[in-house]
Amino acid sequence: MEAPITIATPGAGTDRTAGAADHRGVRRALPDTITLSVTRFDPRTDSTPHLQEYTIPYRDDMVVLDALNYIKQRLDGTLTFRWSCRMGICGSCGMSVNGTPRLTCGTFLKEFYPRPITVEPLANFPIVRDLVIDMSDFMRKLQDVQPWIIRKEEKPVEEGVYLQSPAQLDEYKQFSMCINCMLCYAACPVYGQDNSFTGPAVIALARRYNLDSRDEGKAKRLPAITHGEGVWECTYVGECSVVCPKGVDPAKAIQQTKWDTTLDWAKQLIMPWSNKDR
Amino acid sequence: MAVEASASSQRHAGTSEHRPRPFIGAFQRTLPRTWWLRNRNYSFFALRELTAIPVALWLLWLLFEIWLAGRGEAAYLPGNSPLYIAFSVVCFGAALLHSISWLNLSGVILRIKVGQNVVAPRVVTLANYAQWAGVTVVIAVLLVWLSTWRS
Repeated sequence: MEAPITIATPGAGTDRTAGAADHRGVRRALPDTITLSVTRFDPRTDSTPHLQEYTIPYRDDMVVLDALNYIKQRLDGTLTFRWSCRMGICGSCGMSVNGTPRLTCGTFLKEFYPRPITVEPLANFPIVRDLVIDMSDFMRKLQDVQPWIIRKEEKPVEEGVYLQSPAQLDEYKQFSMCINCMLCYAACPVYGQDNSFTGPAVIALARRYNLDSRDEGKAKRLPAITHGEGVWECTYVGECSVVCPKGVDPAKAIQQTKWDTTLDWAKQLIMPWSNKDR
Repeated sequence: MAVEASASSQRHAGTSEHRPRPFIGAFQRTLPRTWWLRNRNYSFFALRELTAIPVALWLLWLLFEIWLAGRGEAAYLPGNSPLYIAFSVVCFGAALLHSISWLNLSGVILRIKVGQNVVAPRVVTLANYAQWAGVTVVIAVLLVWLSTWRS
């Protein structure tokens, strides 16, 4: 990347001891500042991405997403990034913060202050513009595992909902917390080297449905994760589980799928008459 | 973006008109060769994988020694030089690191159900350590017994 270009808020960076006194005569400090280096890339004009520096007022209750919104609203309206819920649920605002994949709505500036922060698009994905990545590869793979409950035959509505015990819920619950934020893909060097790898979140979601007592679609789902670029590509780096903001353990889902499919294969070899469907 | 698709989207799954298409003009990035230096977890992973190399080399040397022993006592050249002993110590350390790091993960990987209950990961890990210790003792006893039997 080229040398950063700097844009600062007017007045930002002023000596913090200079400031107006409040009604009690206490001299209030002017806001501190913090510098963000943000990736900029416009496919119409740029051949490669570059970093641009923005200096903004600092508050210790600000998250990185607030800082980006401040830049967009006050300094540079052309800065492009995804966000939606601002409370760690939608999974839209995942970016690389000082080299680590994070949800920017849950990453406070005070964690880094007074050091500068580098905000880049999630690693391992193509950059569409600025901080926006092309997620089509992930979405295609997600479609392939059919992440919904599959029934061989749907029961009529009049018969009510499919019941499930707490123990049955516990089987898959942790994998159901995935919000498809793709931080695990950005942390996975296997996916970074070869994006034909199915990847952590998709396999975790496949396992979530395969473990669901209401589901009957395991046989349809497994071919999408047990092929050559599926679970067997994983070398268990484990960083996907470290960066997950929802406490999901995709590495565990992958290794357990390897174990289960191996047992299924052995069972099928020894007892070819056994049922393959579940 | 949490996806809980409905039965209608199930019907559309896989059809080309509903497949997300890559963005034309997006900037493609490549993973730098130094990715494993980015954080401690990556570096430890690289170290764990690299431990396989000294272990493999030591085993190759052992096979070579066995081949020499097969050619008769005169040709046999047991590795007892200081260099070989140092190499063996490094290989032993590598084998320990590889084994311990994998055994620690066994509780996460092996999901064993007994009846309706899943065995706690800690118990699975400890059971694996117990097996490891057991096999080590059996091999040690066997080696000692073989050496006494020969003499």
